[in-house]
Amino acid sequence: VTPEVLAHGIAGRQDLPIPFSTAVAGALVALVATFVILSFAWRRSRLRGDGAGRALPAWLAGFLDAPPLRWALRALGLLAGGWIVVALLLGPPTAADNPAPGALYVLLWICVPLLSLLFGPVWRAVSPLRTIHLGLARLGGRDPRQGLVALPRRWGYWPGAVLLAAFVWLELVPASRATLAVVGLAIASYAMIMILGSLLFGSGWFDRADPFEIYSSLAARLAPVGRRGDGRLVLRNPLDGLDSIPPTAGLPAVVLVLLGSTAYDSVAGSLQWIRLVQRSTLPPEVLGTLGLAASVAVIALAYLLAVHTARVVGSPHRPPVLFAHSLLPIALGYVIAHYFTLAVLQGPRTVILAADPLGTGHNLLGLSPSVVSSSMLLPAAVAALQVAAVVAGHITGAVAAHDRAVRLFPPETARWGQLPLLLLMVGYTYLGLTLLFAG
Amino acid sequence: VGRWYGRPELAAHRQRLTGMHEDTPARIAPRRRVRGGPRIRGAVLAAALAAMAALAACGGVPAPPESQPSSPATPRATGSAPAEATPSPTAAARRFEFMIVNGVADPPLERVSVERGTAVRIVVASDRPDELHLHGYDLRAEVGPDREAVLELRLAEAGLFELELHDSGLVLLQLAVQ
Repeated sequence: VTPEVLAHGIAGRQDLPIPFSTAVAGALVALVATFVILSFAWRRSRLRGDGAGRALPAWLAGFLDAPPLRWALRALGLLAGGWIVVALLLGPPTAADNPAPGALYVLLWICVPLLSLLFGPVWRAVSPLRTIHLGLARLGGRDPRQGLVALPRRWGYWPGAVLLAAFVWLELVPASRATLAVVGLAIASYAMIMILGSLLFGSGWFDRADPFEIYSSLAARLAPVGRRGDGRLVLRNPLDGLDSIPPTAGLPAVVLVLLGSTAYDSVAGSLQWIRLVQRSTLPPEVLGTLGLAASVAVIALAYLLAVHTARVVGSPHRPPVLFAHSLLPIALGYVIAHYFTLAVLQGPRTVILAADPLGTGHNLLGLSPSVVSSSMLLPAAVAALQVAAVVAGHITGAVAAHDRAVRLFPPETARWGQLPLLLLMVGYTYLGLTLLFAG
Repeated sequence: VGRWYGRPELAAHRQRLTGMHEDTPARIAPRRRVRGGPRIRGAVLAAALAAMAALAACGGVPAPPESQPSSPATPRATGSAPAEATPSPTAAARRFEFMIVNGVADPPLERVSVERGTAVRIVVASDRPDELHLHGYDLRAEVGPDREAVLELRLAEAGLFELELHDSGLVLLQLAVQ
């Protein structure tokens, strides 16, 4: 019996390496932008975080916050989740014909954050597990926010960071990741941890522990529409949205796992890595685990070093977590560069497969998966998009860090205090471009 | 490599085409362009592009309605009847031959660049039973001491694709289709 193993998490296609000239152009732009920000950008903080934004018209805000719309979104999430579970249990027994692996590794993991970047916290609005918990709380006549015990504040995002690390390991390391048994086990474990945790700690558990919700809600801070500190829905500068991310414990861990795992996925597709695995006597799973851990560790060590230096140069009294938000756009830019074509090719394929959940030949959308072809994507355009995403992430991050440095550091040290962080960002960006070029 | 090559190929290759590429990969006849002159503010254009892209990627808007499967069955694996893999006039046919002994491939792993549209023929012999898989194109063929695996196809899709032996996890080739 051959397990249906699909390379690269789920799909078999990887992007071509970007041309050298494109990589060099991207690197130059990133470097020049950094220099300009450091030398010529504003001297006083301009971003107002969750105080910024122009309130949406009352009718629009009222519509977006209307309970019927919120319940419709929850119902949609429940339906989609239930649909995938039914397909997983009763649908086609081969992974290639079953929509469940794609639903987990493409729709939930890649498409939901991309949509959140545009529309706001999508997963929070549709999460079927949140809805189930809400239903259970209502049945028991309890406030859903109230658990049996309080969730310790100092845990911050750490439960989510741990679960995120577990998920990226599943996505990138075990050869059996896309088998229906493993996908089913993963979804069941996720649901159980979320429901039990939320019954214990209240619905705040989802904010702190659901890796998909944390990822989606962090990406949503860069969306054009956000929620101001006073609770109103506003149209705002994504930089203000980014600045509004609270400096919660564990935030750096979440972002660094995201960055490190995406970097490892690039490394794992390279010839050198595959040759190393083939020559080694260690099992590929062991090497993969070590490689993933090493990628995250290298990225994290560089971050800790930069932050430590910044505190020595800039201001020793500021906790390092205050700059973690500036790494988020860098991680997202690299995620877009790395996964965009996968989303474009496998997202619609998964939806089309889901239109025949039981493999009975029904085709609710009237489309065949073969309508999605990589010939739609010009390699040169893909390369340009990849570099643009990485560079845009870099510039956004650098501006966010600069603004916070001039706000928090004393004026005499602000310029040099931000230098270690900007250098770190240049380093990450060069690493990302190198991986896109050499991977 | 030549030691096994030239042996009459067994007609009984059990080769199956699985998954998503059974049909011809469709071509989008008129490529959609985003209109907009330089006067459109960059941010608006970028936002519109991003919105379109994310919707296209995730919202299940898979292809414009005019897309039609065009050429005759393109990627196909044939056992002993290779005639139908029609090489395009511009791209020459490429051959790849591998022999696996004791879990070691000869020639060793390389990345090979080929132009899109190239017809390729991949022949693999192995001292152990295994399953050959060309990822992305999702073509599979059984291989073993008594049967060579032969994959013939035209590389219609661009990207980086791995040729792998599934049971042993041995990657034989990375095809960079430009």
